[in-house]
Amino acid sequence: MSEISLALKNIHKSFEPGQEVLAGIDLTIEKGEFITLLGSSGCGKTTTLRIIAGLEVPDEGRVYLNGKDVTGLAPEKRNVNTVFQSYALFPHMTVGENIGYGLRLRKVPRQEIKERVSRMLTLVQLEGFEKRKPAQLSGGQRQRVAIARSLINNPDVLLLDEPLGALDLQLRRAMQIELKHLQKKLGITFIYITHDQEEAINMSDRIAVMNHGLFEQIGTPDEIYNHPKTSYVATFVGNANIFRGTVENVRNHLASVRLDGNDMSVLVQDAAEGLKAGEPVTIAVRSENIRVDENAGKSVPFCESETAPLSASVIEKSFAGGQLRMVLEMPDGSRFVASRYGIDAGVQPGSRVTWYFLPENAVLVDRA
Amino acid sequence: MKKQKTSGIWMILPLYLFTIIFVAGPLIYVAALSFATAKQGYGVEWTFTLDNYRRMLEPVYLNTFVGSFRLAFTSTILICLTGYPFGYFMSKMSRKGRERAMMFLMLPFWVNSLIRLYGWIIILQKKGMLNYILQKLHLIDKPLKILYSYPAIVIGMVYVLFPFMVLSVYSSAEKLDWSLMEAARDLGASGTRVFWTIAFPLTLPGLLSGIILTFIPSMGLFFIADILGGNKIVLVGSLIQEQMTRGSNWPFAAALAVVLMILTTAMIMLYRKITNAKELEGIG
Repeated sequence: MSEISLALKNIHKSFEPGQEVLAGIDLTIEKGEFITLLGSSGCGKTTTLRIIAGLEVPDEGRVYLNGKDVTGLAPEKRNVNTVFQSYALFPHMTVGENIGYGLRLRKVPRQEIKERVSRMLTLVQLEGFEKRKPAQLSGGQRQRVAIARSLINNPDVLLLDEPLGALDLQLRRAMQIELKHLQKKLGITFIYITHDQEEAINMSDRIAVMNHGLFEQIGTPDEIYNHPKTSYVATFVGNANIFRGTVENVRNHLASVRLDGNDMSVLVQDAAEGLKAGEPVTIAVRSENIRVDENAGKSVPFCESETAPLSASVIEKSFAGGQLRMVLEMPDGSRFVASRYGIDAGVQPGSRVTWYFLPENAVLVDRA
Repeated sequence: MKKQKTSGIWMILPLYLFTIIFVAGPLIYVAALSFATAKQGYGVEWTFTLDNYRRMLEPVYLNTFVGSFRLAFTSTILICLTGYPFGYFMSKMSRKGRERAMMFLMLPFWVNSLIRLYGWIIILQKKGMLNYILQKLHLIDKPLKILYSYPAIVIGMVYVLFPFMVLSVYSSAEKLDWSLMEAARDLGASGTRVFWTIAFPLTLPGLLSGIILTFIPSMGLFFIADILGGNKIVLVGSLIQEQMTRGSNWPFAAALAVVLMILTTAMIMLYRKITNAKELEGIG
């Protein structure tokens, strides 16, 4: 099949004794793949990137680039380039000099540098900016210069550390598309870091969700979003609600699960066949899959007749991004979020509602 | 709005007054004095003359200028070579290390500089510490005659002006963005290339102001030449001081001061021009 570009084997790293930033991660990336390391700050994603770049040395484990062990190799000897979060453009050099820096180090003839720099400027749509200093550029332009400066060296792998973090939303969206196009066109392996799940889903071939120095799940955006394996992935990527409960029975490919602390049962389809009565389970349901009915006490579909209707009280509601977001509270005080499109005047804070979700929208997570 | 403007002028007035009284005034006075005639004995006669300037063209005085420049150059170069690395590496130290280095650097300032220079006499004299150690180590047979020589003055200059260079370099090295070095390494630069292409050009302003801070005083620090040079080597600074006091020829002293000032200013402007031009070409 396709060639392996980069492989991490059992990487451990700690900066302070007893505090592992990376607790043994494994990752294999194919040539030309766009992979995103997704996680909140402090999860170890930047450290992973720095180890790949050679700016940090792992305490344990090996790094392989094109099948060669590069674990102890200095950053300047690896054919890997980084686009830094702060861009790290050299302030005393012009845009052209910044982009040509890597080639000048390699003693490429002056004329060739000039040609390749202008080709790069065309690629990142910055023709005519060659003589400007970084201070005279906007954030988005600086970002393109940083990308051009890295790409001109034809790296085997390009590392991008939250490169769009400093840009405003509109520019970020545009740059996401542009970066993805660039990556497809050049066929270079991209390892992209972000804490923005939308960005990860939009751009990546695969996403590796990181938490506490470990990968929670590695998979395609569809797998990560629709089939999260852990409650962390479900909440971080899908903004899902987590319900804990115990299996009551399994009937007709559906498992009935009694929610802990509440006299309510829900039906779950995902992997129901393998469940046994009395088994504790964790269920993730994304907020947009939770339906809310203004009439409290109304019996709802898919609810077994012997169970009480699912009820909750509305704590607050807000409107954002075309969606009405409702915070609901169950009788035992635990809260969850339901959302739907459009503004709905029927639901008011303090009112009691009936809620439900379709059995196929529930995902079992945190299974051993 | 208008009220604010007028109050702004009142706020800044003391600064103007200070500058006029303590900077511009004395300068104008010195410049005027340099065209006056010295009275026999003591005092000044306010008759216009260019004699004071003409007198400087005598070989004795010309040599004094040349000697002073030579000393200032030598000292400044030595201070650059020692002070730059010190300030640069100081900025790379841990917080604790930096605080300690800063303390060592500032500690001598707690003692009067004249007393410190007398300390150097004890170290450098014929039967002093330096000769003692060198002889014990069998590096020399006979004691070196360092004190009251040219090298002694250079040592004194470097010693007194070194902290100014260190602090100036340190303040610009401290502002260095380390991610730039990482970016350079990431793009394929070795450690030395990173230094010469990134760190050095970006700390150049610190080095430049360090040079200005050391070169100008080293033209005028006459007491170092007096104490460690044993008054055998006459520098422009010493000459001015001598003409002011023992010679009591104020106009000539003023003329010397004016020329010294013009020369140093010209040097600085030339230096600035060269380095700026370099930066524009992207070599620096």
